[in-house]
Amino acid sequence: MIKTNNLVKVFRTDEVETTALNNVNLEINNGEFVAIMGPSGCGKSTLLNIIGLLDNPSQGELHFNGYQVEKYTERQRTNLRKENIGFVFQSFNLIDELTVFENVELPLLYLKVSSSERKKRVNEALERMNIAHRAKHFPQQLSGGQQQRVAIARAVISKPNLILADEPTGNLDSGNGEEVMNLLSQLNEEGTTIVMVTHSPSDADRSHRIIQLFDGHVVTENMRQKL
Amino acid sequence: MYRNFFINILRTFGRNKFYTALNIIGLTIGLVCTILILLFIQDELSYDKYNVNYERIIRLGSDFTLNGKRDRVATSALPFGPTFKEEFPEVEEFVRFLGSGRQQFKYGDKIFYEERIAYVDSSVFKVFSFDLIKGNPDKALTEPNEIVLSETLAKKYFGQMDPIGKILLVGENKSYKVTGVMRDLPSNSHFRYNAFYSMKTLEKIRGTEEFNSTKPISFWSFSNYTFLLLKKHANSKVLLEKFPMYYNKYMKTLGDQLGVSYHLIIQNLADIHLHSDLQWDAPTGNVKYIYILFIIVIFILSIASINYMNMATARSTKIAKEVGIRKVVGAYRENLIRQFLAESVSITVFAFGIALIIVELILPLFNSLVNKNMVLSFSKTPELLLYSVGITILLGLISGIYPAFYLSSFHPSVILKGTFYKGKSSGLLRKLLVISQYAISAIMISGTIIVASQFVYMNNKDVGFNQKDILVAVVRDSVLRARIEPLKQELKKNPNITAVATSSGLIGFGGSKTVHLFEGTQGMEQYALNFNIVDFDYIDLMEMKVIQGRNFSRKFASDTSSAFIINQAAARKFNWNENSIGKKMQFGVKIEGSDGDVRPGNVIGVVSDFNYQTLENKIEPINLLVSEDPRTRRILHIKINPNNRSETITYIKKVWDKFSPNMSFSYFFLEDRMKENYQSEERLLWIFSIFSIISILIASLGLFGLASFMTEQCTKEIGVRKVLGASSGRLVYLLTREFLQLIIIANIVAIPLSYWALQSWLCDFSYRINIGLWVFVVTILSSVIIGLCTVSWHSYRAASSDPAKALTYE
Ligand SMILES: Nc1ncnc2c1ncn2[C@@H]1O[C@H](COP(=O)(O)OP(=O)(O)OP(=O)(O)O)[C@@H](O)[C@H]1O
Ligand SMILES: [Mg+2]
Repeated sequence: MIKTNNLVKVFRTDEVETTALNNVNLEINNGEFVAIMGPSGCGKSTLLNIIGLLDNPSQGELHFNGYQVEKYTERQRTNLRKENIGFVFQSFNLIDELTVFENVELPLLYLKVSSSERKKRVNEALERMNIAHRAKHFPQQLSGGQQQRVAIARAVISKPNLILADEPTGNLDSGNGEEVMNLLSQLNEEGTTIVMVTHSPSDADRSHRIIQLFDGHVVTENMRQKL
Repeated sequence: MYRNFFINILRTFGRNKFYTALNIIGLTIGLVCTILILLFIQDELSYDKYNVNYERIIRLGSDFTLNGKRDRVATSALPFGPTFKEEFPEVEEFVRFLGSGRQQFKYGDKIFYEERIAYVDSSVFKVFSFDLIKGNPDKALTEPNEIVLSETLAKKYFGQMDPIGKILLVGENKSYKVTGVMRDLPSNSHFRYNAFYSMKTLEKIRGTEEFNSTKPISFWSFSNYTFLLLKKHANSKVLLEKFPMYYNKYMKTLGDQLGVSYHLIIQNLADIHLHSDLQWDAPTGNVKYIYILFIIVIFILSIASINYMNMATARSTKIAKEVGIRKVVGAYRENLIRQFLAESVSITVFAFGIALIIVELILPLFNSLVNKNMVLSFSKTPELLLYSVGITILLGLISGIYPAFYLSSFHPSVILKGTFYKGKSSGLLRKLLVISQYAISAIMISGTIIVASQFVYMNNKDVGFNQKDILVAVVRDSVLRARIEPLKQELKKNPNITAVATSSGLIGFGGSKTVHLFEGTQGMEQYALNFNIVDFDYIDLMEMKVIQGRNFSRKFASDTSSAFIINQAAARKFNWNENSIGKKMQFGVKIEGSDGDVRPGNVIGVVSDFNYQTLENKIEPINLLVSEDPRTRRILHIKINPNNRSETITYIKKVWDKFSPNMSFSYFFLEDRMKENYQSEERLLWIFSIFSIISILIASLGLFGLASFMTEQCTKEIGVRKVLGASSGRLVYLLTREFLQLIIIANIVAIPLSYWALQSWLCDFSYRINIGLWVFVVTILSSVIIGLCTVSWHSYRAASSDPAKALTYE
């Protein structure tokens, strides 16, 4: 599904040049659950953003579902992304002015899904994340775990085949973290490919494979035997 | 989709109540001004267009040059109408208006003075859409001594009675039969008439033959307004092209004899109000004010719009996250741009709604300020709705477009990492925007100061005579004119009356003009010179300064027949300068067919220049003659003691009534009348001050909002600084400094612009103030003070806040 070829990302701010990614080569197959680990600042989020088509690499190739996408315009990337990729973030990133329902509905609006269909799918997703009773609340009225469940509902609402999660449990206590990890595993079992950045070894344990990043390089790729 | 749009917009406003309120107030005030000014402009542009035939109606004016002096007047001669209709197939009908001046009307015990009355041809109701409520438009003014009254006048004299057929006594001994009542002329009419006499009346007075005569002299007396209704599809240019033929036939012989060159002026009826710059025209509007108001609208709207831009982009740190999220879940940039534009347009549309209500409330006030009678009615003037809604939406789009593009440009990846770098460009642009707001305000402030000082200057300028405490009465009664001397004696018995004098023309309102001969280097030369015929007491009463020779005196019997006193301008014009005394002059020239006065004589005195026209005009040469001929004793001047005013006036009235029991006493003070000359400047002053206050107010709202954003952002920094031991005073200084810099830069930008604009406005005045440096010093000081007050409250609040709280805030 995803293949990178000597991926390089350089950030330039004023006079400082940071090489966040340096010749990254990796391949992620359909249905995999991959964890990305590494020390702070090694480029994990940068890699996730590029894979998630939020950002273009500075050099190298990126293949997504058979398309070569590294030169795509913002619009082309958006088109691919909104149909294929869902995101989950450490800080949830819900829109404060919108209710839970509306937050989850958002991707469908941009996919121009009809309103009755939207209602049906949002309710299903909320149900599934066990948060339906909070549909009319605003994010700030929810606990962190609940917010993250809403974020996951939003990520899956468009039925993407790839979910990118950047430290999804980073802001949660262990109980809530566990719950989120269960949801992700479940999604993976249903066929969704998952790429997750994490600092937690126990979360990483859930994955099929761990990619270790250090200073922009892939150091090891650790295949795990799925139990 | 759209439901989500608007719910989101409402919630966004709800979360940012303070800034939304600031924006709405600013936009509302801006739109109120816009709607009012649009109403005003629309009213100005609608003048005379209520006439169904307005596109086919033209007015004939005259442009003639006599002895190198060019005059362009709105009038033409009485035979023009009939002869044009005869000579030019393009002309369908003509109407002439000949003003009759103030007159006393009497019906039963109701006696009043009325003005704005004219003799008109009976075709008036066919050509113009004057609405006859009573009477037959085809017959109303066909016979001598018929009168049509305005509705107001009819009510005034006849109340509930039917006025038709009633006899109204006019002046000393004339009577008119009321044959029609017309609806009062609309306020957007350049005509201001209250009543019409039939032209046949004049024909009867002057004799049919004399009145309709086409002898040469009658073509050269430009006494009346001539309007022509052209046939459909006829072009008024054709008249201009064919006019030389007409001129040769009727006017050339005498014209050549007088040495006049003549050009016909043709004006479209609808152009008269705004574009006519002719003499002897009805008071007209000024297209310049329309431009000024238009610029002011743009100024005020820009300020309000900049407020929106500033506050929207200042919110960017908050909005960035939302933009990022929406982009991550699949929004295109256009989706977001559309969303931000919808936000800005909804807020302006909302402001427009409030503005409409406010306009409705303050329109009466505005009407009295601009002396109009406008109503806000979208059904009557749908184009006004179109324009104001159009402007509102445009304002929303313009205000929103920059924030929309700026905010939607945020990169989702950068935002979601929580490392949002504040764009440098936005800070710079915001500064530029604040600078332009304050530059606009500075232009308005300096404009107000200049207009005000010019106004004060005109009101206080030494006009070369003393206009204070002079009561003026116009003597219309020929019997009284003959008994002026005994009246003067009787008046002077009162110790509060210090002087009494008469003249033929009223000072301050231009002079009459006639051809004079003067002693030039090659014998006698011709010049069209202003003149005023005065009595022996006039120059003393006016306190004019005789700087060469002597004043008129009863001791010299020849003064009434051959003495002239000229002003300095005349002495310079004729190149006599210091040696004017004794120079030969002649008042009037003999023209065949005319029985005008001719008086040869010598200059006996020179008075220092005095402004007998408004200060927009340079002082032109004038000649004063002395006469005790009753015909010349039209304007009675009474200089009174400023104390005991009302008793003195009662005394004057008593004396007047004794001498003239039939014509009631009416008067005005010269000074008041002179001030009326500057009404349009006064109005401009009002407009300028009101709108400059408004623009400063809106700009301050914006600065207030911006300052509160910046202090919000600085709170943490301030906390750190305070922990490190900085004093509050220093912090206030740091925060305030940035805004002050912007305001001062704004003023530096504004000064040359406003200097240039005001200098060109002042150019219209022959007597004007100089734009001193102090004007700009005051401008800078006032905008700095206003800016300081706006910003310092926030700075103080932030600086005096508890540092510990500020540090835990984030
Ligand atoms: N927009 C940016 N501009 C400049 N430098 C950036 C930008 N984004 C990231 N970097 C730099 O690139 C490097 C990699 O950053 P990245 O966010 O990918 O690290 P990370 O592995 O996700 O760290 P963490 O575990 O703390 O989230 C860092 O040195 C960071 O400072
Ligand atoms: Mg990271």
